[in-house]
Amino acid sequence: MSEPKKVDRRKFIYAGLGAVALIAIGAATYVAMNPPVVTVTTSTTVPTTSVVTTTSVATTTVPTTSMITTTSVTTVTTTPKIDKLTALIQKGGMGPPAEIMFKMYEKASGVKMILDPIPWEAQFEKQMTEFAAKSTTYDLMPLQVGWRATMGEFFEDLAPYIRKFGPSEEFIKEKLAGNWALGQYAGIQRGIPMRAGLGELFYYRKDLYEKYKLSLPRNMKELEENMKLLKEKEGIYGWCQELGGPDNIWEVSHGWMMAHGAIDIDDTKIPPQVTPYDPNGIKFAEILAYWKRWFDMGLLPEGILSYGIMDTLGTFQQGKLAHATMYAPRVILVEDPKQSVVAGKTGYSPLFWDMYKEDSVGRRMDHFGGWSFGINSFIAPERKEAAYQALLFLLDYNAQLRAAVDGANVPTRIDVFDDPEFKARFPEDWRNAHKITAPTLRPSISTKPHAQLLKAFADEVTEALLGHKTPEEATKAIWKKEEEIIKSTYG
Amino acid sequence: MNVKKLKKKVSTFVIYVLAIFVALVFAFPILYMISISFKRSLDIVTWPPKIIFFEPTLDNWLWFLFSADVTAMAPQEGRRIIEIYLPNSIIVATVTTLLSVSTIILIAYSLARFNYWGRKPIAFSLIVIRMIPPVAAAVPIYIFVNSIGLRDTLPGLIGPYSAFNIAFGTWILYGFFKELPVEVEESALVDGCTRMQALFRIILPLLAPGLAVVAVFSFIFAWNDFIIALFLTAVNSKTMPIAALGFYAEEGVFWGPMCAYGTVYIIPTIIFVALVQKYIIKGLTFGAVKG
Amino acid sequence: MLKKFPYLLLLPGFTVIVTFLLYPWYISFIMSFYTNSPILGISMKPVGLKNYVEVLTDPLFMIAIKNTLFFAVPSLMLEFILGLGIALLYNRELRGSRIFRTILLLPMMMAPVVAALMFRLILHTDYGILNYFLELLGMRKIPWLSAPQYSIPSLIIVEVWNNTPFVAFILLAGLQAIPQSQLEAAKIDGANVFQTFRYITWPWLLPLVVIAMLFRTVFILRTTDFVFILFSSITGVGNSALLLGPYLYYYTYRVWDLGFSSAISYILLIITLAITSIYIRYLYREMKF
Repeated sequence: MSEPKKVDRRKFIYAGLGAVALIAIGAATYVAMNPPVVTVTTSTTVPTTSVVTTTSVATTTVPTTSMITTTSVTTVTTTPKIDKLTALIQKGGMGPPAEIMFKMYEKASGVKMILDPIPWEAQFEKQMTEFAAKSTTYDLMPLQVGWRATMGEFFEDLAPYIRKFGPSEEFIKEKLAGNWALGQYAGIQRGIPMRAGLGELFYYRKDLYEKYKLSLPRNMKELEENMKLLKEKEGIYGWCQELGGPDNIWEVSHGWMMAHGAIDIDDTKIPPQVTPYDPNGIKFAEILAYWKRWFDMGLLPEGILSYGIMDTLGTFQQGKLAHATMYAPRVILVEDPKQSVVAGKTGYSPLFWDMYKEDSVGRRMDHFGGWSFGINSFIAPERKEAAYQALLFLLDYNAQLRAAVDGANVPTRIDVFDDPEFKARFPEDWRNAHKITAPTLRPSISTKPHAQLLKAFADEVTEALLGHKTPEEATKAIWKKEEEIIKSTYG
Repeated sequence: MNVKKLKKKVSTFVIYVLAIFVALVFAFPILYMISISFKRSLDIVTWPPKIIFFEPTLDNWLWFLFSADVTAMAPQEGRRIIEIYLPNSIIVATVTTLLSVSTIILIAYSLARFNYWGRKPIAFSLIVIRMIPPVAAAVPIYIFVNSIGLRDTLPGLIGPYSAFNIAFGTWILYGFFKELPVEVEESALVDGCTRMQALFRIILPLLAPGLAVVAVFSFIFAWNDFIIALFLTAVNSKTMPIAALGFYAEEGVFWGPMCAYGTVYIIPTIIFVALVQKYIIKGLTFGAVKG
Repeated sequence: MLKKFPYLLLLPGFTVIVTFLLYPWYISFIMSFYTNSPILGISMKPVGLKNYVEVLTDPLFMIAIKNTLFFAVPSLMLEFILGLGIALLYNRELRGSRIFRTILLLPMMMAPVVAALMFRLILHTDYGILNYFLELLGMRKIPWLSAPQYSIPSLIIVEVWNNTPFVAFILLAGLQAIPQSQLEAAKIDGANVFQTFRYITWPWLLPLVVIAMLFRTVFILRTTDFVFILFSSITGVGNSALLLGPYLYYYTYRVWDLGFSSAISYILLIITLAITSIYIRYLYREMKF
């Protein structure tokens, strides 16, 4: 073969292939723009009446109107009998109580509950992926209070079901109080709350307090004095925070800020608004300055900037800490003699309760974490009502009691707090802390650009703690960055 | 003993010491993990660390072996981790390895021994395709697997894993192909073998070390992959790596049971590697080519 | 029919690859030219190259590149040197060499999460074993995981531990596959250890070295798994452990800006191709008969 011929053939082939490639890319683009429809798999059987009895929550089966269901109508509630529901739950944390309650529901109603546990570390990603793919794998999904803004829209609006099946207004006011808001965003109820705990409960070594006749600190200055004394006399660290990573830094900072009546973002407005720097930022800068000071004084462990949940808890359990603020349900782990040398020696209180007036800059707020369960909005309509029945059961008195006692859960029904079994399980001052903070509870902030806000916030706090910026500079930068992020998200 | 013998003995000794030292460095975290699996909770995260003196306990093992999949807090009835996760992983990893290796042999052979148009771009594309980080691929793969109805099934995992392995292992086997003198095959062909016969009878045995390496890495990838499995599995098809995070719960890390899990986790891989080891022997090509 | 034979050989493998791996690449490619964020409810607005520009001008991206470079280069050099050394060491007829070689692979066999947690325990500033030993030796504790300047070294330690076996294993198998006849011939001709290595061993081993390091390079640029577990944070203290992998993870799975993160994927691809082009060009040349 002579040279020119070879080249021509090559060119021809390249051109042909190029055309094919272009067509292929075009086809792929078309396919990508119209993603394949997800096949919906539902198990439906013969339409029969479905009646669900629960114990103490008022439910009535009312003759359907065409409002809810899509299937044919006979006498009472006619929906295809859904005999199986799948719920995503957490591994650990709120998983065990959810499991307990759903299993009780299974016994009571005959509906098989399939539970799939996912660890908390991967939960947000997993849930968002399911929603992004419009998947129908799970009927019920959990909703953490901080995720309401980012994930809430993928959950079914529960209003029609609430109207039909309850809970009633009085029930909510009497039995749930501030906890009801945990499942709500922008005025729409997305989930039924089943776990609610103080985000930053003050854990302290009661035995040492009694030994040295110390009293609970009412502001940061008093805390510092207690810490110094205990460090000197007992050689233990005064404090520990989960300061590893944006999520942890955000949680802890907001717990402290809010206890002082300050907050950086008002998420009750849509779009959210950054609050005035004076006095909110000034207060936070003061808090940050104290933290830096304590770090430099050696009152905090050296590794604190990478501390996560497990470190603070573990350090406290080992008896190396005088105080800590941790999520309320951790009480069970602190009081477990198998894991903790300070079992029986710990006291509990809201952070800086009885704060002096001059130390707070606004109405006290107690940072509240918690979980609800909601309905995956992508599942078939006939499944949703059955799913709601399962959710309703989460408000049942016995279910919440068992979840609390056997599953280390903090109930969302406040009447459970007075139950003798509950009292026996949870220490008195811990229960008290929840009781007295009922009027001051405030759910965690939730906004759409959540990840960006957390990162901006945490980056600046880290800069301050590393000494690269002063607390004031860092706090001013936080306020500025938050404005920018909110503006670029909401326009 | 003359000097030469002494030198040899000393050098052998030194080599042994070094080899053991290297082995220890790599084995240390595993040994640490195994020791934790026998410690009580109180002894695990201590200041200062307790390395040697601790009271051993079997609690963690009992907890792990009999604990159900659902809660992190206590053994309960229900599906156990080892009942579900372990068999799934074994099936997925084995099938993936078989599928991957057999396909890789074909592709690598094609690339190494034939010259045809498009060879280089094809080879190049394999590397490029493999450059996608599983992290970025996970969501699109999930959407795709979901749409063909393989969500939460074992084949739904085997497919993507095989794809990753093939794109990766082909090049490794190609490297081993390069070490084989072409004369071996050519003489077989001259002697009257067909291509396929030459491949199976002559080349594969000589390629055994390369095949072993590819098999080992394929198995390890399919066994260890976490992010794709996280999204693609739900209730039925969960694999071992996902169980790992289950010990890392909101309350804290359950070090003891997790280390028991970690120990069980590596056993199938160790068995596989030990079996496949014997193919990595010296001198397979000794005397195959005269002169 | 015979002419098509090599293509036939490719068919099964490529079917699998195209089915599962090409689709993600396509989706990523298309999406990188749109904004797409499930959280914000914005879907598929075409924006041309805006995502790419935003990535390249994102200060976090620059930090990620810097950190990844400081992390990858020392790690790769160490993996190569140690890997080769270990392969040579284990290449001998030692008793129990099977055991040694199995132990060698242990780091890769461990569950990634568990291995990372073990290292967290070992490197922990306050209760880690490493610091404990340092104190016994009279030195001060080093804040491996909690100070920005030690983040990259900590990552290098874990990375080298985790992946040197990969290199060592491939090279070891490669050493075993060298035709004995050549080595014998060299010995007879009176070559010493270094000369044998340089003129016989190394040329045979070179393709495998290139391939092993090629893949190590590709994968190291994507390191993500253990960053989070070591530091309790995707980015380490401040942004000191923000590598390209965590950077991609952050925008994909936390921010959920899928258009932006697709652009990151492709930019990462281009960077990887640029860096590995040297390896690939060598292999291309080698692909002649």
